[in-house]
Amino acid sequence: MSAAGPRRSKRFVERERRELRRELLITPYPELGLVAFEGPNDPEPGLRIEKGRVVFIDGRGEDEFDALDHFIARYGLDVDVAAEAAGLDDRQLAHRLVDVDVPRDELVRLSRGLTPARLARVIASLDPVEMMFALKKLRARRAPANQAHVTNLKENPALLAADAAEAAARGFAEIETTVGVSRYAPLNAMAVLVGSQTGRSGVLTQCAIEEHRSLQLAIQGMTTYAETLSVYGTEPVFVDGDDTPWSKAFLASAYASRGIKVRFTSGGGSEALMGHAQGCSMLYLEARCLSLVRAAGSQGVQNGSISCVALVMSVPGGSREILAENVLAAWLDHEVASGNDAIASHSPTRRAAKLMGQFLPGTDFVTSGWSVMPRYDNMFGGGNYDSDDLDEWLTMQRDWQVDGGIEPLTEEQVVDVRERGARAIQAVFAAFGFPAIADEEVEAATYGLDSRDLPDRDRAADVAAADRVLAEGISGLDVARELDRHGFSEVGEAILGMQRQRVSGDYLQTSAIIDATGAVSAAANDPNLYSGPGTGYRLEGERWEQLQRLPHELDARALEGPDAADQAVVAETEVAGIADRADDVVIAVGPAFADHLRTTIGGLAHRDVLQALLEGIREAGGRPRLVRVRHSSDVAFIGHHGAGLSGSGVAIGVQSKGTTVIHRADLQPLDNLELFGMAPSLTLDSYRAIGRNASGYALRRSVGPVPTVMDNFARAKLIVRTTLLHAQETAAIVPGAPAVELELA
Amino acid sequence: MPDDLVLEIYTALRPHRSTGAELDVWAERLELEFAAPLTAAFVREAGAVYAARDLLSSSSERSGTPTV
Repeated sequence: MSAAGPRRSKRFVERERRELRRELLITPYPELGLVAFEGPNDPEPGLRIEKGRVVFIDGRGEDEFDALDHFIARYGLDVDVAAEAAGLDDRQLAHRLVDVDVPRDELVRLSRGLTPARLARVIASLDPVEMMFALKKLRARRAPANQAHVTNLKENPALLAADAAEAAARGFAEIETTVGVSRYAPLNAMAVLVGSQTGRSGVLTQCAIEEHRSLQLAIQGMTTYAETLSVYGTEPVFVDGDDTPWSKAFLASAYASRGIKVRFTSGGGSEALMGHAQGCSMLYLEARCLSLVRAAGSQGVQNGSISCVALVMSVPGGSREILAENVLAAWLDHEVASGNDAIASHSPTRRAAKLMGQFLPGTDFVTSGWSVMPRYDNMFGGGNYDSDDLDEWLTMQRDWQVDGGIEPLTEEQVVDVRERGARAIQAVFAAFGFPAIADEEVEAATYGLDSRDLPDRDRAADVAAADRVLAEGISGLDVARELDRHGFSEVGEAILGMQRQRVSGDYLQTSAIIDATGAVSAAANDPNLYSGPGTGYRLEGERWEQLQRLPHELDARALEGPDAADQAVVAETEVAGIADRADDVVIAVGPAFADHLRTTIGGLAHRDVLQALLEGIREAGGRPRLVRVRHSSDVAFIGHHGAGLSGSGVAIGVQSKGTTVIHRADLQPLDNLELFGMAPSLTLDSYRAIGRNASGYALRRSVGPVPTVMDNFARAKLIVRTTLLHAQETAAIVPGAPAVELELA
Repeated sequence: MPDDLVLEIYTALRPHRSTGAELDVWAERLELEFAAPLTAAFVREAGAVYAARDLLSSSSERSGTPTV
């Protein structure tokens, strides 16, 4: 018996090598919570209220409530709306979600009377496009925005500041950093604060670390928001996260009382990953999380699976479930930072396909972390999109006319802002007597690719400095003062501005972001009022001009500039007649050939192309004749017209861009003997061979087709230039003009 | 309310950190020292649910049904 097994299809083997196949797809395992919708233990929706008090939620009476039920019963349901919502069936509610005539406010009001199981069931009844439409309608803030991730493996402060400065300058409204070593947190938070305010004042910053320490840094003014208040849909996982609904709600209030913006974090798959999904579906557990987040009084949530995204996408309906989570969060009136931060798939196709669910409708933060630096330096577990993908993202915005929250900048602008960010943190470190940031670090942070380009720092000395920030209570105000004293008064002023924001607290409103003038844009003062085509936020006007104009975009008019018309290549002699010699082979060129245009799209000089064709025809015994067709720019008609003039009936038609055909007079114009559509891959040898074949046909020999190279990407690469060249050829048409004989000049 | 105290109460509310009596003490302080009756009630309510759901610290007393 053979050990090799059955014979393999080479196509299957080839597909198995694709990046996509590195990840597992699994059949649902509902008992473990590995199911997107309709888990075996998802309860029937149910709500009972006695004397204004919730006594039954989704299959459980008060005596069976877990801590989450208790909290949701107490704070998460509006008993007055509950009766009204109970009077609407799932279909009616689902219809309202996608009905442009039902305003967002009305939907938010109704959501307050719905239990987690009911919310999950209604959302699950929408198909993906309906979900996207509902999300567009339900987003809290008028315009979408984006959040950046800034980290590096060496925790180098100059690089952190440079990346934060670039992120801010690119228009990110929030920047999140984290740590490899938790003691670094105060320095990382400081570097990102200073860098961000160098790039654009008003950008909110956070440092994702353990809750207690995170709050401490916020109180000191090193951060202005927090979003890692994680909640989970079952009690055992909640407790493993070292919190209860009460501690989490208290923590959120603590942040708010200190003027810190807060959003919670939740997402499908986390309960299964942590071993206690209790046989419930991902969407139902997320609905519990979101009901609880609202009950805790949070203005918003980061959700859409987040770090478990690859787990959710391993089960059927994964992408749809993640989008359902985002829609549900928006329905419950939360600001939504919609994931797309952790790596969703090895496959760029699959990543982009998943992204469209949030990108096209627009969410408050399309990603809850777009890696401004290369993936190598991303300490949030990779980064679904990173600095290498920047041009792709900008191009997608341009393709769809959709605002994904990232602005194009020139290399010069980026280098400038990165250096300023790194210089500012260098000055702050010097002012506090922290381990010096060398000029070579500033330079490497400005121009380098990632932290491998930066020298190693004394990590023990750095963490000692970080400890000092906490021990001495160095505050955001202190940082602002030192910047002002050391020649960075604008950055100092911006940081002072952020401390002022904490006092005024306007940015604690739902979906708040702050612009460069310090003005807050939130659902309260800048709401999403979408109510059908022509309403709500549209990418247009100045913003559209800004996002469509990419630095590497070319001016189409500059592209079509005439080739240097120094020396004439051909001279027109007389109107072309029909020859009667049987060895006559016409080379019929287009109206602009070797005249207004001088090279093919493949970069061959027209003179050389003509020489090659002439030589080829002569080598094989034909007698070439040069003719210019003036009434058409189409290669088939040029060739066919030439054939009509040819004594042998055979002609070669050549367009200025190099596209060539061998034609014969008795064929239909759009038929041919041989067509060479791949102009970019034609060489002078190809043209010589075309000449020889044309002679062969003329002399009635047996002819094998000229071998050609296929480049399937030629069209994508060159279609713009093709169009511009063809436009010029067409512009040179003289309607009704007869063909003329040419001779080489 | 001082920052330190806020952080302390947060810690006290985390699972298995406090006994019921300890949470009651926090509730009393919130009421008497800081005139924060709503927050005090919130902490008491947590104590009752924690007792029912086994979320108090190991040295805690246990009680039956929460009174939320």
